Amino acid sequence: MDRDSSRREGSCSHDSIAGEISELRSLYLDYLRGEIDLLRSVVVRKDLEEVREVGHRLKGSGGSYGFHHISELGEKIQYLQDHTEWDEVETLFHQLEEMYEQLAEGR
Amino acid sequence: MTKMIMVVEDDPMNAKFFELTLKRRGNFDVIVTEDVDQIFSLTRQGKIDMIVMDVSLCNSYYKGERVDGITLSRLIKQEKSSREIPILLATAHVMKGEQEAFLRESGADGYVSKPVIDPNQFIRKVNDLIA
Repeated sequence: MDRDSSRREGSCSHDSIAGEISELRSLYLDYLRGEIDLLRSVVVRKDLEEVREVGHRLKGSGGSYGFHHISELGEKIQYLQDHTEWDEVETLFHQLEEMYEQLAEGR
Repeated sequence: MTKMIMVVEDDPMNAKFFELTLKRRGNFDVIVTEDVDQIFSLTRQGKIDMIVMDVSLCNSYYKGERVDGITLSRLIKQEKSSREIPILLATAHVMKGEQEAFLRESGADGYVSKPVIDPNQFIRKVNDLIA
């Protein structure tokens, strides 16, 4: 996701409830911050089941608020295979952190 | 009379999304809960016109065991007092065949994929089931 598109994400769109209720965008980013903090701790613990659960929640929620890239990344995390290398898990985690930083910057 | 929809959802942002969409775009009354005792109490009293049921529930317990939305739906559909209440499953599971299997196992009446990209389509599904 480029920087401009990340700033556009979550802004008013016809199909996003966030377009009608703009304060939810900020609320979602606070929620996302919490999920990232949780994900960091479960990545350190190498708890793949918990990692997948966080991915599942992000997949299920992001797009409803117009954050489609969050849902796409969440889906990748949700369906990580048992034999996944932890380097790959960490890479996805860093991508999520980066997305958050870009979105938070555009708040 | 305004219809009452129960949203059973453990994720706070999904719960908020469903609640706001159903209230603002559907003009429904909404109650959000993941408490199993409250769910059965309300469904048995005939106070619920429809249920939006999350499949993956983390904090819902029935007889001391954690239950997901599939099991809860099945239990609701097994009771004479609540079997007619339409249930719309909400799931972020997207693997081929998963959603159909959830429908079969739960006895639910339909499903919606999360995230909900089009709130109007979601409201149409709700209206179709609640009619």
